[in-house]
Amino acid sequence: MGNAKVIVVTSGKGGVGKTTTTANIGAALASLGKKVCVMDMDIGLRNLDILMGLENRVVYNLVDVIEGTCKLKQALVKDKKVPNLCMLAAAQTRDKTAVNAEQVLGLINELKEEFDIVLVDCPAGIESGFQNSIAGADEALVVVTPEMSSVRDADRIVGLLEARKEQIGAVRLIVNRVKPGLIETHQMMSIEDITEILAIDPIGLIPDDEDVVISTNKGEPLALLDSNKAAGQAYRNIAKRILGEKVPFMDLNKKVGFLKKLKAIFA
Amino acid sequence: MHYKDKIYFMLTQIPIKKNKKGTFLDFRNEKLSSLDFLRDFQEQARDLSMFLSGSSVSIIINPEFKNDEKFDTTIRSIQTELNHENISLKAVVDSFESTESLIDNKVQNLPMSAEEKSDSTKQEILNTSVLPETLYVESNLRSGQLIRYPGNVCVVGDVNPSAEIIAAGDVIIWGTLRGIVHAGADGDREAKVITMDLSGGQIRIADKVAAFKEIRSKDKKKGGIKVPELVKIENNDIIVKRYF
Repeated sequence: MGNAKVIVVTSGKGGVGKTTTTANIGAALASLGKKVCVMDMDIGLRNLDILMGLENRVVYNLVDVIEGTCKLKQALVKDKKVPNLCMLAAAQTRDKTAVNAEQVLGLINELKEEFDIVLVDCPAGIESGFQNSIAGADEALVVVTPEMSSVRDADRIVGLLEARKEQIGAVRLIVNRVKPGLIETHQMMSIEDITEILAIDPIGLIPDDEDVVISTNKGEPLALLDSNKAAGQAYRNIAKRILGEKVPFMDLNKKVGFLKKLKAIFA
Repeated sequence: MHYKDKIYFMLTQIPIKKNKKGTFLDFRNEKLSSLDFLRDFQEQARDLSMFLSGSSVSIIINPEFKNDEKFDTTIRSIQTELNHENISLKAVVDSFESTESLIDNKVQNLPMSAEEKSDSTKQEILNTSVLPETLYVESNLRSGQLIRYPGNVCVVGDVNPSAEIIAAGDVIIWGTLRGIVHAGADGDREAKVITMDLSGGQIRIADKVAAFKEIRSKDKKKGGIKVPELVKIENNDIIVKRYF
Protein backbone atom coordinates (compact mmCIF):
# COMPACT_ATOMS: atom_id res chain seq x y z
CA MET A 1 0.00 0.00 0.00
CA GLY A 2 2.83 2.39 -0.64
CA ASN A 3 0.75 4.62 -2.87
CA ALA A 4 -1.38 6.10 -0.15
CA LYS A 5 -2.35 9.75 -0.25
CA VAL A 6 -2.17 11.85 2.90
CA ILE A 7 -4.44 14.88 2.84
CA VAL A 8 -4.46 17.45 5.63
CA VAL A 9 -7.65 19.46 6.21
CA THR A 10 -6.72 22.83 7.66
CA SER A 11 -7.96 26.41 7.87
CA GLY A 12 -6.14 28.56 10.41
CA LYS A 13 -9.37 29.88 11.80
CA GLY A 14 -11.37 27.72 14.17
CA GLY A 15 -14.97 26.72 13.67
CA VAL A 16 -15.14 26.91 9.88
CA GLY A 17 -15.82 23.23 9.32
CA LYS A 18 -12.54 21.30 9.21
CA THR A 19 -13.74 18.41 11.33
CA THR A 20 -17.13 18.24 9.60
CA THR A 21 -15.35 18.28 6.25
CA THR A 22 -12.89 15.57 7.30
CA ALA A 23 -15.68 13.31 8.56
CA ASN A 24 -17.87 13.78 5.50
CA ILE A 25 -15.17 13.51 2.85
CA GLY A 26 -13.75 10.49 4.64
CA ALA A 27 -17.13 8.83 4.67
CA ALA A 28 -17.77 9.70 1.02
CA LEU A 29 -14.39 8.39 -0.12
CA ALA A 30 -14.93 5.16 1.78
CA SER A 31 -18.36 4.76 0.17
CA LEU A 32 -16.62 5.01 -3.20
CA GLY A 33 -14.60 1.97 -2.28
CA LYS A 34 -11.36 3.41 -0.90
CA LYS A 35 -9.75 2.30 2.35
CA VAL A 36 -9.82 5.49 4.38
CA CYS A 37 -8.48 6.51 7.77
CA VAL A 38 -9.57 9.78 9.33
CA MET A 39 -7.17 11.05 11.98
CA ASP A 40 -7.86 13.69 14.63
CA MET A 41 -4.82 15.86 15.40
CA ASP A 42 -6.62 18.23 17.75
CA ILE A 43 -5.04 16.77 20.87
CA GLY A 44 -6.83 17.93 23.98
CA LEU A 45 -9.91 19.17 22.13
CA ARG A 46 -10.95 16.18 20.10
CA ASN A 47 -14.16 16.39 18.09
CA LEU A 48 -13.79 13.99 15.18
CA ASP A 49 -14.98 11.05 17.28
CA ILE A 50 -18.21 12.90 18.07
CA LEU A 51 -18.95 13.71 14.43
CA MET A 52 -18.29 10.13 13.39
CA GLY A 53 -20.57 8.84 16.15
CA LEU A 54 -17.73 6.74 17.58
CA GLU A 55 -16.93 8.58 20.81
CA ASN A 56 -17.75 5.75 23.17
CA ARG A 57 -15.79 3.26 21.09
CA VAL A 58 -12.43 4.87 21.56
CA VAL A 59 -10.15 2.74 23.71
CA TYR A 60 -6.73 3.87 22.56
CA ASN A 61 -5.73 7.09 20.81
CA LEU A 62 -2.85 8.28 18.66
CA VAL A 63 -0.77 9.42 21.62
CA ASP A 64 -0.97 5.88 23.02
CA VAL A 65 0.31 4.55 19.70
CA ILE A 66 3.17 7.04 19.59
CA GLU A 67 4.16 6.34 23.18
CA GLY A 68 4.07 2.59 22.56
CA THR A 69 1.26 1.86 24.98
CA CYS A 70 -0.58 -0.02 22.25
CA LYS A 71 -0.28 -1.14 18.66
CA LEU A 72 -1.75 0.95 15.85
CA LYS A 73 -4.42 -1.66 15.09
CA GLN A 74 -5.74 -1.43 18.63
CA ALA A 75 -6.26 2.31 18.31
CA LEU A 76 -8.07 2.24 14.98
CA VAL A 77 -11.84 2.33 15.40
CA LYS A 78 -13.88 0.82 12.58
CA ASP A 79 -16.87 2.85 11.47
CA LYS A 80 -20.31 1.46 12.30
CA LYS A 81 -21.76 1.77 8.84
CA VAL A 82 -18.96 1.93 6.28
CA PRO A 83 -16.66 -1.11 6.40
CA ASN A 84 -13.50 0.36 4.93
CA LEU A 85 -13.51 3.51 7.06
CA CYS A 86 -11.45 3.78 10.23
CA MET A 87 -10.83 6.55 12.71
CA LEU A 88 -7.77 7.33 14.81
CA ALA A 89 -8.80 9.55 17.70
CA ALA A 90 -6.77 12.22 19.46
CA ALA A 91 -6.12 12.14 23.19
CA GLN A 92 -8.42 14.27 25.29
CA THR A 93 -6.44 14.23 28.51
CA ARG A 94 -3.22 15.50 26.96
CA ASP A 95 -2.40 18.55 24.84
CA LYS A 96 -0.59 19.45 21.63
CA THR A 97 2.83 19.23 23.24
CA ALA A 98 2.38 15.49 23.72
CA VAL A 99 3.74 14.72 20.26
CA ASN A 100 6.27 16.13 17.83
CA ALA A 101 6.42 16.25 14.04
CA GLU A 102 8.82 13.34 13.74
CA GLN A 103 6.59 11.07 15.76
CA VAL A 104 3.55 12.05 13.73
CA LEU A 105 5.46 11.36 10.53
CA GLY A 106 6.30 7.89 11.76
CA LEU A 107 2.66 7.24 12.58
CA ILE A 108 1.51 8.48 9.19
CA ASN A 109 3.98 6.21 7.45
CA GLU A 110 2.52 3.27 9.36
CA LEU A 111 -0.99 4.31 8.32
CA LYS A 112 0.07 4.56 4.68
CA GLU A 113 0.76 0.81 4.74
CA GLU A 114 -2.85 0.04 5.59
CA PHE A 115 -4.94 2.64 3.81
CA ASP A 116 -5.47 4.27 0.41
CA ILE A 117 -6.21 7.68 1.84
CA VAL A 118 -5.40 9.25 5.20
CA LEU A 119 -7.32 12.41 6.07
CA VAL A 120 -5.73 14.47 8.84
CA ASP A 121 -8.03 16.79 10.77
CA CYS A 122 -5.76 19.71 11.70
CA PRO A 123 -6.46 21.89 14.75
CA ALA A 124 -6.93 25.65 14.45
CA GLY A 125 -3.83 27.83 14.71
CA ILE A 126 -0.38 28.03 13.16
CA GLU A 127 1.89 26.70 15.89
CA SER A 128 2.85 23.19 16.87
CA GLY A 129 -0.60 21.65 16.34
CA PHE A 130 -0.56 22.82 12.74
CA GLN A 131 3.11 22.00 12.21
CA ASN A 132 2.63 18.47 13.49
CA SER A 133 -0.46 17.93 11.35
CA ILE A 134 1.24 18.80 8.08
CA ALA A 135 4.20 16.57 8.91
CA GLY A 136 3.32 13.76 6.55
CA ALA A 137 0.91 15.44 4.17
CA ASP A 138 1.08 15.21 0.37
CA GLU A 139 -1.89 17.47 -0.26
CA ALA A 140 -3.87 20.06 1.62
CA LEU A 141 -7.47 21.16 1.69
CA VAL A 142 -7.97 24.65 3.09
CA VAL A 143 -11.44 25.32 4.45
CA VAL A 144 -12.80 28.86 4.55
CA THR A 145 -16.13 30.49 5.18
CA PRO A 146 -17.07 33.59 3.18
CA GLU A 147 -15.86 36.03 5.82
CA MET A 148 -12.87 38.34 5.77
CA SER A 149 -11.49 36.96 9.03
CA SER A 150 -11.57 33.42 7.74
CA VAL A 151 -10.00 34.42 4.43
CA ARG A 152 -7.17 36.28 6.10
CA ASP A 153 -6.34 33.36 8.36
CA ALA A 154 -6.51 31.00 5.39
CA ASP A 155 -4.13 33.27 3.49
CA ARG A 156 -1.62 32.90 6.30
CA ILE A 157 -2.04 29.15 6.23
CA VAL A 158 -1.64 28.95 2.46
CA GLY A 159 1.53 31.00 2.78
CA LEU A 160 2.88 28.50 5.31
CA LEU A 161 1.87 25.57 3.12
CA GLU A 162 3.42 27.09 0.00
CA ALA A 163 6.68 27.38 1.87
CA ARG A 164 6.70 23.58 1.82
CA LYS A 165 6.07 23.27 -1.89
CA GLU A 166 8.36 20.26 -2.31
CA GLN A 167 6.39 18.25 0.21
CA ILE A 168 2.82 19.46 -0.21
CA GLY A 169 1.93 19.26 -3.89
CA ALA A 170 -1.66 20.44 -4.17
CA VAL A 171 -3.28 23.08 -1.98
CA ARG A 172 -6.99 23.40 -2.75
CA LEU A 173 -9.84 25.43 -1.39
CA ILE A 174 -13.17 24.43 0.11
CA VAL A 175 -15.64 27.24 0.75
CA ASN A 176 -18.03 26.21 3.47
CA ARG A 177 -21.33 27.68 4.66
CA VAL A 178 -22.04 29.46 1.41
CA LYS A 179 -25.28 31.44 1.40
CA PRO A 180 -26.02 32.13 -2.27
CA GLY A 181 -28.86 34.51 -1.45
CA LEU A 182 -26.57 36.80 0.55
CA ILE A 183 -23.90 36.65 -2.14
CA GLU A 184 -26.42 37.73 -4.73
CA THR A 185 -27.42 40.77 -2.69
CA HIS A 186 -23.74 41.55 -2.11
CA GLN A 187 -23.99 41.05 1.63
CA MET A 188 -21.56 38.16 1.62
CA MET A 189 -18.17 37.71 -0.03
CA SER A 190 -18.45 36.00 -3.39
CA ILE A 191 -16.36 33.01 -4.41
CA GLU A 192 -14.47 35.27 -6.82
CA ASP A 193 -13.65 37.69 -3.98
CA ILE A 194 -12.21 34.78 -2.03
CA THR A 195 -10.19 33.21 -4.83
CA GLU A 196 -8.87 36.61 -5.88
CA ILE A 197 -7.15 36.93 -2.53
CA LEU A 198 -6.21 33.33 -1.90
CA ALA A 199 -5.17 32.48 -5.46
CA ILE A 200 -5.77 28.75 -5.08
CA ASP A 201 -8.30 26.60 -6.93
CA PRO A 202 -11.58 25.70 -5.27
CA ILE A 203 -12.35 22.00 -5.10
CA GLY A 204 -15.75 22.39 -3.48
CA LEU A 205 -18.45 24.81 -2.36
CA ILE A 206 -20.66 23.68 0.48
CA PRO A 207 -23.96 25.45 1.09
CA ASP A 208 -24.95 26.52 4.56
CA ASP A 209 -27.26 23.72 5.60
CA GLU A 210 -28.89 23.19 8.97
CA ASP A 211 -28.89 19.48 8.27
CA VAL A 212 -25.17 19.62 8.94
CA VAL A 213 -25.73 20.63 12.55
CA ILE A 214 -28.35 17.92 12.98
CA SER A 215 -26.14 15.21 11.55
CA THR A 216 -23.18 16.41 13.60
CA ASN A 217 -25.05 15.94 16.82
CA LYS A 218 -26.34 12.56 15.73
CA GLY A 219 -22.88 11.42 14.77
CA GLU A 220 -23.92 10.49 11.25
CA PRO A 221 -21.90 12.17 8.49
CA LEU A 222 -24.32 13.81 6.09
CA ALA A 223 -22.48 12.48 3.09
CA LEU A 224 -23.61 8.97 3.92
CA LEU A 225 -27.29 9.75 3.70
CA ASP A 226 -28.74 8.83 0.36
CA SER A 227 -30.91 11.89 0.05
CA ASN A 228 -30.26 14.79 -2.24
CA LYS A 229 -29.47 17.11 0.61
CA ALA A 230 -27.28 19.82 -0.83
CA ALA A 231 -24.43 19.76 1.67
CA GLY A 232 -24.13 15.98 1.56
CA GLN A 233 -24.10 16.02 -2.22
CA ALA A 234 -21.42 18.72 -2.20
CA TYR A 235 -19.19 16.58 0.02
CA ARG A 236 -19.69 13.56 -2.22
CA ASN A 237 -18.70 15.66 -5.23
CA ILE A 238 -15.53 16.78 -3.46
CA ALA A 239 -14.65 13.15 -2.78
CA LYS A 240 -15.03 12.37 -6.48
CA ARG A 241 -12.90 15.33 -7.47
CA ILE A 242 -10.17 14.21 -5.07
CA LEU A 243 -10.13 10.92 -6.93
CA GLY A 244 -9.66 12.76 -10.20
CA GLU A 245 -13.18 12.80 -11.55
CA LYS A 246 -14.37 16.02 -13.19
CA VAL A 247 -17.63 16.95 -11.48
CA PRO A 248 -19.27 20.29 -12.33
CA PHE A 249 -19.97 22.55 -9.38
CA MET A 250 -23.53 22.41 -8.09
CA ASP A 251 -25.68 25.42 -8.80
CA LEU A 252 -26.29 26.60 -5.26
CA ASN A 253 -28.70 29.36 -6.21
CA LYS A 254 -32.23 28.69 -5.23
CA LYS A 255 -34.78 29.15 -7.97
CA VAL A 256 -35.20 32.89 -8.38
CA GLY A 257 -38.79 34.00 -8.62
CA PHE A 258 -40.06 36.24 -11.40
CA LEU A 259 -40.45 39.25 -9.11
CA LYS A 260 -36.89 38.95 -7.89
CA LYS A 261 -35.60 38.79 -11.45
CA LEU A 262 -37.56 41.92 -12.24
CA LYS A 263 -36.08 43.69 -9.25
CA ALA A 264 -32.58 42.66 -10.28
CA ILE A 265 -32.98 44.38 -13.65
CA PHE A 266 -33.82 47.69 -12.02
CA ALA A 267 -31.30 47.49 -9.14
CA MET B 1 19.06 39.16 -8.59
CA HIS B 2 15.62 37.65 -8.13
CA TYR B 3 14.33 36.65 -4.73
CA LYS B 4 11.48 34.19 -4.57
CA ASP B 5 9.56 32.91 -1.59
CA LYS B 6 11.18 33.88 1.67
CA ILE B 7 12.49 37.43 1.73
CA TYR B 8 13.43 39.06 5.00
CA PHE B 9 16.26 41.43 5.79
CA MET B 10 16.82 43.10 9.13
CA LEU B 11 17.70 46.74 9.32
CA THR B 12 20.31 47.49 11.95
CA GLN B 13 19.80 50.17 14.58
CA ILE B 14 21.83 52.61 12.55
CA PRO B 15 19.87 54.24 9.75
CA ILE B 16 21.33 53.29 6.42
CA LYS B 17 20.77 55.89 3.74
CA LYS B 18 21.48 55.65 0.09
CA ASN B 19 21.67 58.16 -2.69
CA LYS B 20 23.44 58.39 -6.03
CA LYS B 21 26.68 59.02 -4.20
CA GLY B 22 26.59 55.76 -2.34
CA THR B 23 25.66 54.24 0.98
CA PHE B 24 25.77 56.26 4.18
CA LEU B 25 25.56 55.32 7.84
CA ASP B 26 23.77 58.06 9.73
CA PHE B 27 25.42 58.64 13.11
CA ARG B 28 23.80 61.97 13.82
CA ASN B 29 21.62 60.51 16.54
CA GLU B 30 24.48 58.69 18.26
CA LYS B 31 26.60 59.91 21.16
CA LEU B 32 29.78 59.29 19.22
CA SER B 33 32.14 60.25 22.02
CA SER B 34 30.74 57.83 24.57
CA LEU B 35 32.34 54.49 25.37
CA ASP B 36 28.99 52.77 24.99
CA PHE B 37 28.82 53.79 21.37
CA LEU B 38 32.00 52.05 20.36
CA ARG B 39 31.09 48.92 22.25
CA ASP B 40 27.63 48.79 20.64
CA PHE B 41 29.04 49.60 17.27
CA GLN B 42 31.22 46.51 17.34
CA GLU B 43 28.08 44.39 17.37
CA GLN B 44 26.29 46.47 14.82
CA ALA B 45 29.20 46.27 12.44
CA ARG B 46 28.66 42.53 12.38
CA ASP B 47 25.04 43.03 11.32
CA LEU B 48 26.11 45.54 8.72
CA SER B 49 28.47 43.04 7.16
CA MET B 50 25.43 41.10 6.02
CA PHE B 51 24.55 43.92 3.66
CA LEU B 52 27.72 45.75 3.09
CA SER B 53 30.62 43.35 3.25
CA GLY B 54 32.93 44.00 0.34
CA SER B 55 31.67 47.49 -0.26
CA SER B 56 32.39 50.97 1.00
CA VAL B 57 30.31 53.35 3.05
CA SER B 58 30.44 56.93 4.14
CA ILE B 59 29.30 58.14 7.53
CA ILE B 60 27.23 61.16 8.45
CA ILE B 61 28.08 62.97 11.67
CA ASN B 62 26.86 66.10 13.37
CA PRO B 63 28.86 69.19 12.31
CA GLU B 64 29.78 69.94 15.96
CA PHE B 65 31.49 66.60 16.37
CA LYS B 66 34.17 67.67 13.91
CA ASN B 67 35.61 69.88 16.64
CA ASP B 68 35.39 67.27 19.37
CA GLU B 69 38.73 66.13 20.78
CA LYS B 70 37.71 62.52 20.29
CA PHE B 71 36.92 63.02 16.62
CA ASP B 72 40.06 61.40 15.22
CA THR B 73 40.12 58.39 17.52
CA THR B 74 36.41 57.74 17.13
CA ILE B 75 36.58 57.83 13.38
CA ARG B 76 39.57 55.54 13.37
CA SER B 77 37.82 53.10 15.69
CA ILE B 78 34.77 53.07 13.46
CA GLN B 79 36.97 52.48 10.48
CA THR B 80 38.74 49.61 12.23
CA GLU B 81 35.47 47.91 13.09
CA LEU B 82 34.21 48.33 9.56
CA ASN B 83 37.43 46.96 8.14
CA HIS B 84 37.01 43.88 10.33
CA GLU B 85 33.81 43.21 8.44
CA ASN B 86 35.40 43.91 5.08
CA ILE B 87 33.68 47.27 4.73
CA SER B 88 35.80 50.26 3.85
CA LEU B 89 35.17 53.80 4.98
CA LYS B 90 35.01 56.13 2.04
CA ALA B 91 34.26 59.50 3.55
CA VAL B 92 32.91 61.38 6.54
CA VAL B 93 30.24 63.98 5.84
CA ASP B 94 28.26 66.31 8.03
CA SER B 95 25.09 66.47 6.00
CA PHE B 96 23.06 64.23 3.78
CA GLU B 97 21.36 65.67 0.76
CA SER B 98 20.35 63.92 -2.34
CA THR B 99 22.78 65.97 -4.39
CA GLU B 100 25.44 67.22 -2.02
CA SER B 101 28.44 65.61 -0.39
CA LEU B 102 30.93 67.48 1.77
CA ILE B 103 34.23 65.82 2.36
CA ASP B 104 36.02 66.80 5.51
CA ASN B 105 39.62 67.84 5.03
CA LYS B 106 40.74 66.25 8.28
CA VAL B 107 39.64 62.87 7.09
CA GLN B 108 41.80 63.06 3.98
CA ASN B 109 44.73 62.20 6.24
CA LEU B 110 43.36 58.79 7.04
CA PRO B 111 45.08 55.95 5.21
CA MET B 112 43.10 55.15 2.13
CA SER B 113 43.82 52.88 -0.75
CA ALA B 114 45.00 54.55 -3.94
CA GLU B 115 41.74 53.67 -5.65
CA GLU B 116 39.63 55.30 -2.98
CA LYS B 117 41.71 58.49 -3.00
CA SER B 118 40.86 59.15 -6.59
CA ASP B 119 37.20 58.25 -6.03
CA SER B 120 36.83 60.66 -3.15
CA THR B 121 37.66 63.66 -5.29
CA LYS B 122 34.88 62.90 -7.72
CA GLN B 123 31.54 64.54 -7.08
CA GLU B 124 29.66 61.44 -8.18
CA ILE B 125 30.59 58.58 -5.90
CA LEU B 126 29.55 55.30 -7.45
CA ASN B 127 27.38 52.96 -5.47
CA THR B 128 29.62 50.00 -4.86
CA SER B 129 27.38 48.24 -2.36
CA VAL B 130 26.92 44.52 -2.95
CA LEU B 131 23.24 44.76 -2.10
CA PRO B 132 21.02 45.60 -5.09
CA GLU B 133 19.30 48.92 -4.78
CA THR B 134 15.90 47.42 -5.48
CA LEU B 135 14.53 44.14 -4.23
CA TYR B 136 12.55 42.35 -6.92
CA VAL B 137 9.85 39.93 -5.75
CA GLU B 138 7.98 37.80 -8.24
CA SER B 139 5.19 36.36 -6.14
CA ASN B 140 2.15 37.31 -4.09
CA LEU B 141 2.77 38.41 -0.57
CA ARG B 142 0.48 36.50 1.75
CA SER B 143 -0.94 37.53 5.09
CA GLY B 144 1.74 37.50 7.74
CA GLN B 145 4.68 37.76 5.33
CA LEU B 146 7.03 40.66 5.88
CA ILE B 147 9.67 42.29 3.70
CA ARG B 148 12.08 44.77 5.21
CA TYR B 149 14.63 46.26 2.85
CA PRO B 150 17.05 49.21 2.93
CA GLY B 151 16.20 50.16 -0.65
CA ASN B 152 13.29 50.08 -3.10
CA VAL B 153 10.95 47.12 -3.28
CA CYS B 154 9.19 45.97 -6.44
CA VAL B 155 6.54 43.27 -6.16
CA VAL B 156 5.10 41.58 -9.24
CA GLY B 157 2.05 40.10 -7.59
CA ASP B 158 -0.55 41.02 -4.99
CA VAL B 159 0.06 42.20 -1.46
CA ASN B 160 -2.65 40.53 0.62
CA PRO B 161 -4.31 41.93 3.76
CA SER B 162 -1.92 41.91 6.71
CA ALA B 163 1.14 41.37 4.56
CA GLU B 164 3.77 44.07 5.16
CA ILE B 165 6.47 45.81 3.18
CA ILE B 166 8.87 48.15 4.98
CA ALA B 167 11.24 49.85 2.55
CA ALA B 168 13.69 52.68 2.89
CA GLY B 169 12.97 53.68 -0.69
CA ASP B 170 9.99 53.48 -3.03
CA VAL B 171 7.55 50.62 -3.30
CA ILE B 172 6.08 49.49 -6.60
CA ILE B 173 3.35 46.88 -6.69
CA TRP B 174 2.44 45.41 -10.04
CA GLY B 175 -0.71 43.87 -8.64
CA THR B 176 -3.37 44.61 -6.05
CA LEU B 177 -2.45 46.27 -2.79
CA ARG B 178 -4.54 45.21 0.18
CA GLY B 179 -1.86 45.10 2.85
CA ILE B 180 0.47 47.46 4.67
CA VAL B 181 3.23 49.35 2.89
CA HIS B 182 5.76 51.67 4.48
CA ALA B 183 7.88 53.54 1.96
CA GLY B 184 10.62 55.93 3.01
CA ALA B 185 10.73 54.03 6.28
CA ASP B 186 13.96 55.80 7.26
CA GLY B 187 12.24 59.15 7.11
CA ASP B 188 12.42 59.94 3.40
CA ARG B 189 9.33 61.96 2.62
CA GLU B 190 10.15 61.91 -1.08
CA ALA B 191 9.45 58.21 -1.22
CA LYS B 192 6.43 57.06 -3.16
CA VAL B 193 4.22 54.05 -3.67
CA ILE B 194 2.93 53.06 -7.07
CA THR B 195 0.35 50.32 -7.40
CA MET B 196 -1.76 48.86 -10.15
CA ASP B 197 -4.82 48.47 -7.94
CA LEU B 198 -5.23 50.21 -4.61
CA SER B 199 -7.87 48.10 -2.96
CA GLY B 200 -7.56 48.56 0.75
CA GLY B 201 -4.80 48.40 3.31
CA GLN B 202 -2.62 51.12 4.68
CA ILE B 203 0.16 53.18 3.17
CA ARG B 204 2.80 54.90 5.29
CA ILE B 205 5.35 57.28 3.82
CA ALA B 206 8.07 58.38 6.23
CA ASP B 207 6.04 59.50 9.27
CA LYS B 208 2.64 59.88 7.61
CA VAL B 209 -0.09 57.24 7.46
CA ALA B 210 -3.15 56.85 5.25
CA ALA B 211 -5.75 54.10 5.32
CA PHE B 212 -7.71 52.96 2.28
CA LYS B 213 -11.12 51.43 1.90
CA GLU B 214 -11.38 48.03 0.41
CA ILE B 215 -12.90 47.81 -3.03
CA ARG B 216 -15.06 44.75 -3.36
CA SER B 217 -16.04 43.08 -6.59
CA LYS B 218 -19.50 44.60 -6.42
CA ASP B 219 -18.03 48.09 -6.64
CA LYS B 220 -15.90 47.00 -9.55
CA LYS B 221 -18.94 45.74 -11.38
CA LYS B 222 -20.63 49.08 -10.96
CA GLY B 223 -17.93 50.76 -12.99
CA GLY B 224 -15.03 50.94 -10.52
CA ILE B 225 -12.20 49.57 -12.63
CA LYS B 226 -8.62 48.97 -11.66
CA VAL B 227 -6.56 52.13 -12.09
CA PRO B 228 -2.81 52.45 -11.52
CA GLU B 229 -2.23 55.04 -8.83
CA LEU B 230 0.66 56.96 -7.34
CA VAL B 231 0.74 57.68 -3.63
CA LYS B 232 3.06 60.33 -2.25
CA ILE B 233 3.35 63.22 0.17
CA GLU B 234 2.31 66.61 -1.13
CA ASN B 235 1.79 69.64 1.13
CA ASN B 236 2.48 67.54 4.19
CA ASP B 237 -0.23 65.00 3.46
CA ILE B 238 -0.42 61.70 1.69
CA ILE B 239 -2.26 62.05 -1.60
CA VAL B 240 -3.30 59.61 -4.27
CA LYS B 241 -2.99 60.50 -7.91
CA ARG B 242 -3.94 58.53 -10.96
CA TYR B 243 -0.76 57.47 -12.60
CA PHE B 244 -1.96 58.22 -16.11
